[in-house]
Amino acid sequence: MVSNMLVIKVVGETFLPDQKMRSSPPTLDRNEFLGYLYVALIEKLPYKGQNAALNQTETERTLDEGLAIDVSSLQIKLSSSGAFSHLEDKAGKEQGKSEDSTTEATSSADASKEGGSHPFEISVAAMEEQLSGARFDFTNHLTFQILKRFSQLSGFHIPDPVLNAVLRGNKTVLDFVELLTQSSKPKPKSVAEALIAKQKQALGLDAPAPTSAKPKKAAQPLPLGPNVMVLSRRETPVDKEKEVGRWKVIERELRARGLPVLGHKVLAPQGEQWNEALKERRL
Amino acid sequence: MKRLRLLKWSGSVLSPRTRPDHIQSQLYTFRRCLATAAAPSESFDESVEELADAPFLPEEILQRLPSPPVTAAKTSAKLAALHARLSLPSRLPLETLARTLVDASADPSIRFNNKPFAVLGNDLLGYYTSEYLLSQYPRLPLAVVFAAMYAYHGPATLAAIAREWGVEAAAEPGGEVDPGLLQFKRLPPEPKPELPHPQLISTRQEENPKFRRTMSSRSVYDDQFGEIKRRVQGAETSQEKGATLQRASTDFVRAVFGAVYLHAGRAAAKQFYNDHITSRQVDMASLFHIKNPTRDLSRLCAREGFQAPVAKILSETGRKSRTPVFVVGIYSGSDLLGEGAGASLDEARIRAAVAAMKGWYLYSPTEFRLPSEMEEPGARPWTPILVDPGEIAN
Repeated sequence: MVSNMLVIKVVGETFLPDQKMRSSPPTLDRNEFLGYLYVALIEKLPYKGQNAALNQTETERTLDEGLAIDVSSLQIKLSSSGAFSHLEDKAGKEQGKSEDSTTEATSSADASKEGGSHPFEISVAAMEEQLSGARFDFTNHLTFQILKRFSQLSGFHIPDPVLNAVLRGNKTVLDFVELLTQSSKPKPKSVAEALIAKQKQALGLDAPAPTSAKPKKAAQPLPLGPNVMVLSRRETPVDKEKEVGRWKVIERELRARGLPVLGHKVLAPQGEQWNEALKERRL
Repeated sequence: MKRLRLLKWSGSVLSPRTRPDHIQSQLYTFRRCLATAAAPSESFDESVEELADAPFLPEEILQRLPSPPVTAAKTSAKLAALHARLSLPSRLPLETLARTLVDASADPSIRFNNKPFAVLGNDLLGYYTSEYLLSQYPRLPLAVVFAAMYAYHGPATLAAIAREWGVEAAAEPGGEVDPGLLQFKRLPPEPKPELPHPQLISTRQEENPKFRRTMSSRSVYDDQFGEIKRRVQGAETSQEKGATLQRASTDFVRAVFGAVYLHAGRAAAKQFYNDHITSRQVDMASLFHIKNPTRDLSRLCAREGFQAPVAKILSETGRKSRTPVFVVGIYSGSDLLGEGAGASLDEARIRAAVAAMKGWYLYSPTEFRLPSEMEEPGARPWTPILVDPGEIAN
């Protein structure tokens, strides 16, 4: 299992779209996606609280610069429909909404000069708690800013099918992260590989992926299962004989009579022992 | 008084299957192996180490095992299908089902073959069948009880059951064989004796002519079918030689019963028994072989205090023709005991007597309870069942 605590390091330079195009998309796990999405939200959402430094920055702040911002005290607030609304102080119960406190703007600006990397820690559970039930509001332009920033941070281009699934299916943000995680996994090269992986999953031979314990919906009839056998290659007559255990008898008897085991010499795999013996005998 | 250490037994039966040698590992994820893979020439341990990541195992390792490895059970489609087809309880794992398919002739180690399960299953079958027979037909003669036991769960029936379950046999046992196949070493064909044995003409078929095998001795000394128990030494030598398909199938079905009992408990085993054995119809009336029905009937009437049986013609047709038919009834006083039709008066009378005897023997109470029902928690208090004074001595 991945440790529950995630340290997000936002370095000064971020992935740019052209960089991303050049290199193959990185494989990220779910928690990394979640962290990048959280950072993008913190950066892009409007702040409604008492911290003057944050009020100043509006939606243009980046975490790598604002050292003075205590990100762990921030909380993402959702509107009644579940869309992202704004940021809030976790401690501040009475929201003063003093939006015009420009006195401390200078100090934060000074602090932001320091630059460099700014790690902050937040637990995965805390992020999940804040993001649970949240949905993207695709009528809001802010959503696309968030997604763009997320794409820049993670260096992962959000595939259109994923966005489409989220939009049509009215999925939550956590579902979106799940879909992203699935789509970022490397695709198997051949059908056999894919089938074997599926079969392993169906049989429970693979360790289950570290996902949040979500009760799966009604189990759909899987094409694979314990009563299906997936082989890595074509089943030959030899395999059928092996399955019933007859092949070793056939082989033994053929060897005892000095006959080639796999038939014609050319068709037999090179480097077989009998082949060498045959050559020697001919010489 | 001797105490049986039952816990130890069940422990050895249910112990995890681990080979004492180093072959055993969790690597056997897939049974099928790469046939064209080069044979590893280094020592065995190294080859195992090297292949730790590979999902397939080379055949050289598998072929050294006398029976498929435990982990192969998970990937066998045949085994899973068999488990589902028999609707076995989910508490019975595939690994145990795979073990029930390994005959003692394939894997001599009792930690891997089905011998312990088969012994338990055989006892269970005998217990359930005998109590069912004796409760349902309390007056059956012992010979018929033996025949009925054989009909319900004798080797021929169990082999037929295994065939109906769709269990196929492997040609040769081995580690590379699909664990869903019945595995046993085939009995080699016996060479034909060049000189036939001198024909011994005797009235007895027993090995020891001095030993007189009566029904009473059968019930005491012999097995549940009234047949002579095999000698232990003879069994071992025959095990080394191999087994017939019927014998292996028999042991497999018995082992499945034992495994169900061990893993899923008594109630599930009883249910499994009812589903697969009691549901089979046995024509009890056809098991009888009555030599002197008229004499037996008169003795029976004398014993039970009935009036002596009298045969009377009920109807007849074509007495002077080529194919006459007589219908004879046997009366005791005014009670009609049996009725039979035949081409002659004697035949009809004998048939009527046989019908009367079968009517007596095949009496079945309308409602009967089995002694094993008392094992269930919360069972009703036991009401005694009918116990017959015994069959008619002849």
